Amino acid sequence: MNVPLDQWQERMERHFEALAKSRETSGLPLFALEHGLSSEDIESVSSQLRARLTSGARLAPHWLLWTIYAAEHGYNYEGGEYWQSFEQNTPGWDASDRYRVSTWFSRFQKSFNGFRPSGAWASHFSIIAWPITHAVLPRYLQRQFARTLYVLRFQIARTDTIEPAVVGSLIAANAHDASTRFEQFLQQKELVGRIALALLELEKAADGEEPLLPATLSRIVRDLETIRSARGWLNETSRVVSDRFKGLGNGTGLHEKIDGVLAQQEQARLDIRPDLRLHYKGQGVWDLQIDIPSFNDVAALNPEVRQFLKQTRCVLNGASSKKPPGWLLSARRRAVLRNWPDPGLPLVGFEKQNGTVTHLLESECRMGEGPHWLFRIGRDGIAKEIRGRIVRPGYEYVIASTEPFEDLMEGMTPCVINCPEIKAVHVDVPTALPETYEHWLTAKGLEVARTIRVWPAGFPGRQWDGEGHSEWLTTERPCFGIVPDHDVETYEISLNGEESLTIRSDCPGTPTFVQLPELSSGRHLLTVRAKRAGTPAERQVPQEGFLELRVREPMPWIPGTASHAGLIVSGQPYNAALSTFWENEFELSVFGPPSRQVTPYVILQNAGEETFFERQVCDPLEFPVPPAVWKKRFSEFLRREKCEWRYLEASLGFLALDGGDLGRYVIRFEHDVRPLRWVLSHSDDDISVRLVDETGKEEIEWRCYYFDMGRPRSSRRLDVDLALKGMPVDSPGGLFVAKAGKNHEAVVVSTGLTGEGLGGLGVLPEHGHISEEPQDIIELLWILRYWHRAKVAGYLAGARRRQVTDTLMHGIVGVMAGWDWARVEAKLNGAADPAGYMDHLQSLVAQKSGFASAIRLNVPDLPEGQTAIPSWYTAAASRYRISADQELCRFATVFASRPYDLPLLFPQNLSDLIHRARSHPSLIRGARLAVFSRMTASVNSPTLLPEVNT
Amino acid sequence: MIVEISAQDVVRQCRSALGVASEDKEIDDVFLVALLRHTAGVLCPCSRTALRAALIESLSFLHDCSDDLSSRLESLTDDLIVAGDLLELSDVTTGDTEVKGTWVFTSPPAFVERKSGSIFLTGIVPDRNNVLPEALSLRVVHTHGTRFIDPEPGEDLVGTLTEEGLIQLPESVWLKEPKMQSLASFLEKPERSLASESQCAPISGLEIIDQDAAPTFYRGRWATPGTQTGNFVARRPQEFGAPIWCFVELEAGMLVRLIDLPIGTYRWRACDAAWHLQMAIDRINETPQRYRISDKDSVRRVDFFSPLPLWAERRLMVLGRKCPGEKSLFAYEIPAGEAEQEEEFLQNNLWLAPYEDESRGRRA
Repeated sequence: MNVPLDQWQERMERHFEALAKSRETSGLPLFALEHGLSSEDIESVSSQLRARLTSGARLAPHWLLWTIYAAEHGYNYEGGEYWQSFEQNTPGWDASDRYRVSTWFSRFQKSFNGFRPSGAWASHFSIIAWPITHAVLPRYLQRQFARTLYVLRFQIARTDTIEPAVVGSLIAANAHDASTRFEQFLQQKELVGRIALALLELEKAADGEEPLLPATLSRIVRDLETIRSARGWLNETSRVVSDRFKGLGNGTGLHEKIDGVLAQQEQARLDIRPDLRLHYKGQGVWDLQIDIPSFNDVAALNPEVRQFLKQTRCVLNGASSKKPPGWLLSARRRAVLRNWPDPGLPLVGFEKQNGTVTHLLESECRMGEGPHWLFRIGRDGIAKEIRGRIVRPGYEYVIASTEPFEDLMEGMTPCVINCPEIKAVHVDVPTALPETYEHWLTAKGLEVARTIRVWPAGFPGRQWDGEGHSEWLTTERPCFGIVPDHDVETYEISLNGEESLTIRSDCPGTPTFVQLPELSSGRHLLTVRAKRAGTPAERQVPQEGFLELRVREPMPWIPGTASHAGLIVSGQPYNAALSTFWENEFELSVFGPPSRQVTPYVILQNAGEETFFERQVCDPLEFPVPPAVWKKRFSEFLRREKCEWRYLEASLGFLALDGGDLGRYVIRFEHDVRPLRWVLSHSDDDISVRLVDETGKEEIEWRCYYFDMGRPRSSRRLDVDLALKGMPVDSPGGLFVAKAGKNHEAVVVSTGLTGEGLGGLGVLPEHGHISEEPQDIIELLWILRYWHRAKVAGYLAGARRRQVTDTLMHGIVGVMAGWDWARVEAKLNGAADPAGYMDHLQSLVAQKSGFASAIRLNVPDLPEGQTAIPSWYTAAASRYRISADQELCRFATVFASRPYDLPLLFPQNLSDLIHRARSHPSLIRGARLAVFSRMTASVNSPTLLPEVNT
Repeated sequence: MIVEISAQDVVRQCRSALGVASEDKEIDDVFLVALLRHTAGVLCPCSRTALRAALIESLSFLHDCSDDLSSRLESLTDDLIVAGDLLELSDVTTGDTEVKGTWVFTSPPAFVERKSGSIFLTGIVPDRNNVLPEALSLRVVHTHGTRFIDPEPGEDLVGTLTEEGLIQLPESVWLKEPKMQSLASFLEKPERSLASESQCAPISGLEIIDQDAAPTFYRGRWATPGTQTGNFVARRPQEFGAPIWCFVELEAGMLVRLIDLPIGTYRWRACDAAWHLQMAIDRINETPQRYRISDKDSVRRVDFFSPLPLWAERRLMVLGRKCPGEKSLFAYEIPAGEAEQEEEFLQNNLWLAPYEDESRGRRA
């Protein structure tokens, strides 16, 4: 028996009062979803509420139940239109009742210290913000939540605590590309942390300290685990995280920990120092390029900074043009600088100011102080700035300066950097340095190094500059090789001045390998102190070198995006013709950096490569652009612009994908045009057709014909000059044929309706009287061939052409196989249940019924291929004494399957064969029965089907 | 803790991190390919030289000095381009004005489902050696240039990979093949184009592929025109450079018409167009070009007697490895599970026919 609503209302009031009391100490707010009801209870309450609504009774007495009802709807809705689905599920609900929802939730908030939505999203959607927020983690956000945990699994695993607020803060600070609603959810850090830890089965809160009713938390966890991919992500996250948390307990000093974690992250985030490089342009000239790390970590500081970076254009110190908003967020970015940067200013600036960002830029985003800068030329030919200013014998460098170079030494050649007022010299440092050489370098603030080579071993270091700077991930164990070119006794290797290891060195030229542990994000200093063998004096002066390791978390991978700042375009088929592209059969995929767009344009050119059609296909598209999205947009474009047939006029087509500063990708489509061809053009709703002649042959006779769809056998000769200028096509259209020497071209053009209603979509062709004279039949076969082989264009052209060829075929079969036979065939065509008509046809084949039975029995099971059926049919016709004439049997099978090919396959004796076949109608009927037997048995019998080009 | 490790340990630990752990301490191709992918994730977009230089440095003192590491890396970089892990400038755009034609780019993670059920993986993600969860990544089989996973019975591997965010690529996109056509429609364009050419003067030094010569000896098919009539694939000399591929009409050995190959826009080489055309001509003449397939341990060996167009050879390169021919022009060894689909490809798209040779293990 149902518990009445009044009792439910009372019960829920008591429940929430008790819950609110238990939260008094923590001060954590309540959510309407924390009702603790089972799914049966919810259904019972919901159905009673709906019944009461339709009865017109007052709703106010059960305000708390309605609050729960609305929150439940918020939990289950799919992220689209809240009210639409709410009203669908709540018969009798009126749009004017919506304001009541916010009243009920306000009352809930005041009565029980309920959660109050805030922020831009909540103020924009002031009513639905209540039920959706009170749904805690609606189902449509659950997948995103699981994915976020998966992406951040390494960061979570690396925190030193399992305090929910710490974990929640970490997730909130690092969830990139979150939707507005999801971002808002993440701001409830304690709650987010609790859900995350519960999902990963790591945490149980003490009674009264839960931010969420345990039953509600379990329900969310259960629902999350039912999402297929979410389950996999959670398992993987759990696997990575659980090992790290083993043995850890809840600690004290929560806020210190949050600050500590965030401060630790902030330390890592400060790594936005750009690199300066020189690219060789030839003839002693270099370009200066800046390579900036992604600012995603800066964006993670807080939402305000993220918005600032997304919305504000930046300018590079040394470049004149501004970079678009978000430029620094997508990936590591590079740009050429045409002016030498002012070392007194940060290398990156913004057109607006933001306190946090400005501070970071001032402290972290600067180049080395002048007036001399050192660049080492690597094996790849790129010269990278060496901030340590250490010069090694045997290496090549470019030294840049604001001051002129004087007294150049051996191996020094002046060169040019493409920045005004900067001087440069290319230095090929000798392996043995004279003292004067060292002095020259020292005077420039440069230092000559001794050579104990250290390099990242196994895995190359990210951003390895050959001078001790490299970047690593928190998931990696950096490994270095060390090899001296002189006697060294021991190495003392220490990390961050603390942990150290002493290793005995081998002889010169023999390497030693050391491996570091996984490092936390931030900067680490590896010191290699080599104690030299040799005289006591030499041993007293140890060599010391430093390796700076910048360690960061792995960047999350966002599916469907390119990892470089540009477009990745692929299309199928690889060498698509223009017709394939324009008929929307081209499978286009475009990938690019997240949050960027691409604008597609199409261009058509004539044989003279003059553009006659150029349009933007649609508004800019977000990445990734999958084939389905492209096809939809292009289809809409073709309809909107009424340009489905414009490509027929073109020799070349282009699809240009304009990604702004990401570059422009152009795909070329060639129109496999014939020198003689028909093209269509639209004007409002009218279609006209024009003959294009590019044969270039003057002494050829042109002939043009027109066959009307209503009377497809009757041709009308067209004036060639008129055809070359263009002529309108009357409804319902017809077949246009042009001949010029060896070239001929035919197109079926269809336009307009033929009458009222559905019948007006089709045509009513008539084949007229057909004589039994072979020449007439041959002429009809040629006409059938024209219609069959022609291209189609215009409204319903393929379907109407099929009606025409069916009609012509009916006439030809009537003459060759008998009209009774043709009439049954016509009924078979399109019959829902063909079995009865097949039986009828079988009975009409021949008096010797065994022949027809054998056909129906054997033909469907014959192997595929060009020859299997004709061979079998020839043998069977002989065996059943229908005909032993092999050529006639072959004629019959071709007639039955590809009648339009007869004039070409039997050019010499077609008339004679037709004459002979007419005296053996059983042979023709048998072949047609074989075709139909095959058709009704299988859809994959192309060799015996009367195919039509569509 | 900082520890000293041996050169072998460096390699072993790299192999393990890359998911190509092996008892073998050698720097084999499987390891180098995985390391190239890792390095491309770190450096790309960059030049091939930069990729190679970074690895030569990081593998210093770890490989056998007699090993020509540079050449191996160059060749394996080609393999990664063929397998679709790396893209060339023609496949992408970039806002970076400094990018040169020799630069390579990483492609986003994707997969291709083969008829055999195997799923081939492509793509590189910066900072990650594998985008798949551990349970799946342990099942990845690494071969020379490719990675694949075989689905378990009843497993919806395509669905799982899609959920993981990998893009499913049609095989033809992956292999960059031309649109396939029927024999008749394939031949129509060159024959029509040739027929519409004006008659031309004789050309000395013209060589044709003789359609009467056995299609199992490619070099022996080249001949100077004698008394042949019909359309032939040919080469005509030019003053400088290699002869030009063309398609000619002969009348009793006399040149009537000529058109250079390829006709119109064609993404591959002229010789690719010519060889494909000759395959179609041989098939229509009912003297199809041949391939010979034979069992060899767990692989199938396919011997060819005529050159293959680049796009056709590409798919064999992706699946297997090229080896010298045995009484043939060249051969490929491909996994046994892929042989059926490849035979279908050779017969339907290149119009080849199996070679009957009873002296060798398997039929054709």
